[in-house]
Order: sequence, then C-alpha cells, then structure tokens
Amino acid sequence: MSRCLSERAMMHLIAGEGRDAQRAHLVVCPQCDARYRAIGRDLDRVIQVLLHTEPQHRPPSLLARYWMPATAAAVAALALLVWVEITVWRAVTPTQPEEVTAFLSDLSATMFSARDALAAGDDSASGLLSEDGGCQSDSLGSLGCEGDNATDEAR
Amino acid sequence: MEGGPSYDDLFDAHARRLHRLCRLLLSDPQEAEEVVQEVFLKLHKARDEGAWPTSWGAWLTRVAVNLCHDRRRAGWWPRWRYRTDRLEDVGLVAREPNPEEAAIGEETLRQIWTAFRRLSDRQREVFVLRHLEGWTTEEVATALGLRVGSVKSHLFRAVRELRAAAGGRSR
Repeated sequence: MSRCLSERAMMHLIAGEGRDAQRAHLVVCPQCDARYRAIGRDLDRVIQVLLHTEPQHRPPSLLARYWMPATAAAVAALALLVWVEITVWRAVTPTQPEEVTAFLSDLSATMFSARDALAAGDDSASGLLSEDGGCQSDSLGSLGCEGDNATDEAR
Repeated sequence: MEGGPSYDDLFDAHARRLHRLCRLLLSDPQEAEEVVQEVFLKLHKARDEGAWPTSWGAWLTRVAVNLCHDRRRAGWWPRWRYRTDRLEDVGLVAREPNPEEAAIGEETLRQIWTAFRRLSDRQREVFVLRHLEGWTTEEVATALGLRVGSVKSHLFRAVRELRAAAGGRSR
C-alpha cells in the first residue's frame, strides 16, 4: 500500500480499528508514522485534560445570563401591543361601517340627481339656487363657492 | 442471587467514575450528582427485582448515559430555572493547578474544555464512551442505539474538533 493514509484512517487506527494494510503502511512511511504519532499525542492530551482537570469556567456575562428573560419580556411587550391594537383600539374607534355606507350612498345619489337636473337645462333650479345665495359650481352648497365669489369680485 | 458484588462494593467501585462521566456529559456538577444518585437508586431497584447483568459496570454506565440523555431532552426551562452560580463554581479562591494542568497550560486547557462543550451531545457521548470509558465501537453503538458507521462518524468529528483545540493542525 503506497498511498498515504487519510486522517480518518489514522483515527480508525488509533481507535484500534483499521486494516492490516494500513498498519503495514505506517511501518514503511515515516511521514504517515509521524502524523499518526501526532494525532495520538493530541488525543492523549485531550483525554488527560478531560480526566484529570477541572472544567474551566468563564464567568457568564450579563447578556448571556439574562438574554432569555430579556427576550421573553420583549416578546411579551410586543404581544401586548398587538393585542391592544387589535382589540382595545379597534373597539374604541367608532367605525360603524353601515352608517358610513348609507351616508355615502345618499350623498352620491343627491349629487348625481342635481347634476342631471343641471344638464337638462332646468333654469328654474339654477336660478333658485343663485337667488338663495348658492353657487353655480356647487349646487348643494356643501363645498363652498370660492370660485364663484372670485368671479363676482372680478366683475 | 449470591456471589455477586454487593451494593456497597458497586457504589465504591463506580460512583466516582459515574460522577465524572455525568459531569462530562452534562457540564453541570449539581445535575451530575443528581443523576448519579438516580443511577444508584435504579441499581437498588434492579437488584431487588433480581436483575443480574453480566457486567454491572457496563449496566451502570448505560443507565447513567441514558439518564443524562433524558436530562438534556427535558427542555430548556428546568435547566435554566435551576442554573445558578453556585459558590463552588464561581472560584472565589484561587486554586493551585494540578500537575496535568500545569504541564498543559491554561490557554490550551481552556480551549480543550471549550471545544468539548461545543461538541454535539452525540459526539460527546460517543467520545466519552469510546476514549474515556474504553468501550469498543460496537459497544458504544449498541448502548446508544446507533449504527457502527454512525458512531465512527461522530467520533471522527469529535476527535477532529478536540485535536484542533489541543494544538493539532486538523480542522
């Protein structure tokens, strides 16, 4: 066997496994033999440390120690905010969609009926509006007559 | 059953070893102590029920590994809830290094322990059983319910990480 051994093969040999051909290669290849010994030395060192020394403690940082309660508090605060927005705020705000819809439909019906009347040349209707102090651009008188007033002043 | 080791013999022979094993697997001395007590409680029950394995040492190790496994799977809350800085862990008094610690050096020691803690639970179990307890790969596979190939794979990765921490070139 002439090819040098992989690291995995070395570790199998160290673990007491591996093939005879691999062991034979170690005998004839000084480079692989040196790598094999180095791995064995490192492993022995690790085992010595784990067996005979005390675990090295690093003082826990405040962030590491309190990240979990801090995260939980933040999530709870966010959930509370969302709940307030969804339930309390929406309940307090007077939306009443039926009333709004009814008002809008009344408004549009009135506007369209007035426009139709103007288009049909109903002079009495426009004259009546003008006499009442209404304006030409806003037959309902709800939007004001700024344009009309300006025209009057120009005259 | 007669002629086997007594409860006290087994306790004297294995308690310290099991405590070290559990401490390596759990990284918490208090929890390791609890697990060892539980292991010997199970030993007591097993003997009462007439269990008589071929090797009490292997039986105790298997029970300890399984209990450690259960502990880790218990969830983060109990572990976090009882995690406190105990007085013996804080290191208020500077401890003299033992000969091994003095020979290896503080930085390497710290790196090896850090690398060991960073291993996955499975890698740690496999490494401890194979290299520290001296079990064969097949025994480790049987005890952990893994395939032999899987054990070898975990072992390879664990050794590679630990070797890198110990100053080896692999990574």
